[in-house]
Amino acid sequence: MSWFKTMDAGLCLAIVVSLGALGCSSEAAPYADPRSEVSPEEVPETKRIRRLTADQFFAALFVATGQRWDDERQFAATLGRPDFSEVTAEGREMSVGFAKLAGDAARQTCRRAVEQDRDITDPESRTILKRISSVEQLDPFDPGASENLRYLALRFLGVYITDDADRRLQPWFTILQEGLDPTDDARFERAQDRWIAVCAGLALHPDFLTY
Amino acid sequence: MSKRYTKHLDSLAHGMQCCGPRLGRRSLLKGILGGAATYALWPVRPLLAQSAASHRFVACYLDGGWDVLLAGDPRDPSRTYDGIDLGTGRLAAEFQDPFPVSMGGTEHLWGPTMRALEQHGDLATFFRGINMNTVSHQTAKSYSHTGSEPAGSVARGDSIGTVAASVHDQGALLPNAAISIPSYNRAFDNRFSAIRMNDPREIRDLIGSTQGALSDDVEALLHKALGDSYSCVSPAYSGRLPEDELSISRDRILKLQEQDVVARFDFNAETAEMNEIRSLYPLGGGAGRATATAAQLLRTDLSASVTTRVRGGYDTHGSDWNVAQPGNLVEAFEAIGAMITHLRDDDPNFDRTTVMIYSEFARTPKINGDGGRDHWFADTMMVFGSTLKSGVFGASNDQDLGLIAVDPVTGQPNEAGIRLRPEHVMATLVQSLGGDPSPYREEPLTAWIAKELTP
Repeated sequence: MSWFKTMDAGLCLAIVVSLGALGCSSEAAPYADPRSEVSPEEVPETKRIRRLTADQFFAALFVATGQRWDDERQFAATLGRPDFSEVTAEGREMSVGFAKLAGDAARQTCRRAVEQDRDITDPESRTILKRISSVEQLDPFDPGASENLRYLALRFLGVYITDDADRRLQPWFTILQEGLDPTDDARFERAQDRWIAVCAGLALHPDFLTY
Repeated sequence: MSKRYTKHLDSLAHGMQCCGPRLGRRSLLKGILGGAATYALWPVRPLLAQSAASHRFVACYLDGGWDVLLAGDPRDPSRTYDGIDLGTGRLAAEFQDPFPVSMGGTEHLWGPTMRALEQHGDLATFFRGINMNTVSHQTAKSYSHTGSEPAGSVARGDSIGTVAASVHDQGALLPNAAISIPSYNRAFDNRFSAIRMNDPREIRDLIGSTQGALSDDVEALLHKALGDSYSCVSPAYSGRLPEDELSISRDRILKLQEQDVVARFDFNAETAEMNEIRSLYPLGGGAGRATATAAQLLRTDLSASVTTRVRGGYDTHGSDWNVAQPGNLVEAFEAIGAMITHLRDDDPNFDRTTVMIYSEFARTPKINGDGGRDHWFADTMMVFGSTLKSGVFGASNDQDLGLIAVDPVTGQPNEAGIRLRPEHVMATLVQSLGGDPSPYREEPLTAWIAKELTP
């Protein structure tokens, strides 16, 4: 076996020397990233992605927003709730239908939650706008906005974020503040919609819907 | 476009320079000759276009176990049978007499409830005497939906609609749809999992506008934010990630809303198309709504495959068998007949359409003490299309509706033959549609395949 080890070591040495020579050569071509972006649909599915059941989704949405979706009963079966007469297995598959109905549910419950919060003066009693200083005139640049986003990330996704620069907060800052000038009064116009969208986005986040 | 996924460029930028096609004189000449050949063959284009990719499929399920003596496997009431009580005296006159239909050049009896399908007899293939191997509803349902024996009542295979969608998909936004019926996808990509509706009317909620939508600019920001969001569950997956699966769905929802086809499912609308649908389908009941929705999903190209529960009410153990069973069968066959007529509008010979009709099992040949019929394992499946030879394959025992062996080539009774199982039917159908029959672990009945589509 010693000849094999010797040859093996020699081979490694030769490779290292060759690579070194390539790396040092003044004629080496500039590095080109040999990769390209591909559509998610082109990526093969491996482990089957599973989502919350219909009842888990309804319950999670209620806990997170404090609101029930009006159409729970109507669409429970479509979202996969078994009736245990015709269907005995819970539906857990991702589909266009689930995404559509989850989106409808998130928007309705979040709108109600935000509208209700705006009528509550005690911040601690609010559900979505708990760290916002003023709910009379919502401001996307409210001094408590970033703290409120961190609070919502914990509430919806169970992640405790301490740094405002954390990349997990960026999508929600985007919804809240993108395209707005913090000194322009126009920022107030769609502030409520933006907070509703933050809430809905968190309820439609894969960490909320899947596991 | 996902930024997380990358693939080597060997076949792209660098590779194309080294090995990709170059437009030289030789290739130019080939191109001209190829173009001329294509032009010369243009008149036979429809023949060359027999690819599975443009095919559409509907599976129609009758829930509860149908009485095949009134439908796909009747008997001549002028004769007597050792083990069959036709109950003719208790049936209304219109449901007493089967009628002959020419299938593949031979006349076969069809049950008296099937008049609505008679005009489509030229497309029909019946499989009779199928051994469902169970008289349990749940087990037989899973078996009949998939063609694979379930584990207990839990389906193990893929729904036939899922298999058909996987073969036929041409990028439809909802390749596989299931109306009022479970759908199984074990082996195929998630995009072939059915979009499920508990009621056919829900299609308008699923493809319609977003409920409670925010202002357009905020919706756009929400869409962007979700596209950029990072998921903590993703490291558990090595292939497509949850955020990508959701992203694909959101993009499809947007495309569906852009296409604005929801109006084509509003059967009350005063439009020419809806007037035609109202004149064709019995929309007063659920059966008509189910089949009309199935047809529209195909005609709008939203789906390549639809499985629908047409109606229930066939589990007639009691004394109402003589009224409920034939009445419900007629309602289902009228709805299915309307759908076939509708689909033949743009595909008269069903060159690119296949319709399958089935129930989980049949009903006993003898009438029980309550005046009804119980569960029976010798079932029938019907296919309307052009990929199978028209005619009747298989048979049940003439005297008692029992199971008998049949020749796998002729389909005629033969002691040395096979006992027909759902696996045989599904394997045959799937092979004819261009799919892989091997998961069924039975040889397809190749002698009954009229043409095999290419995937």
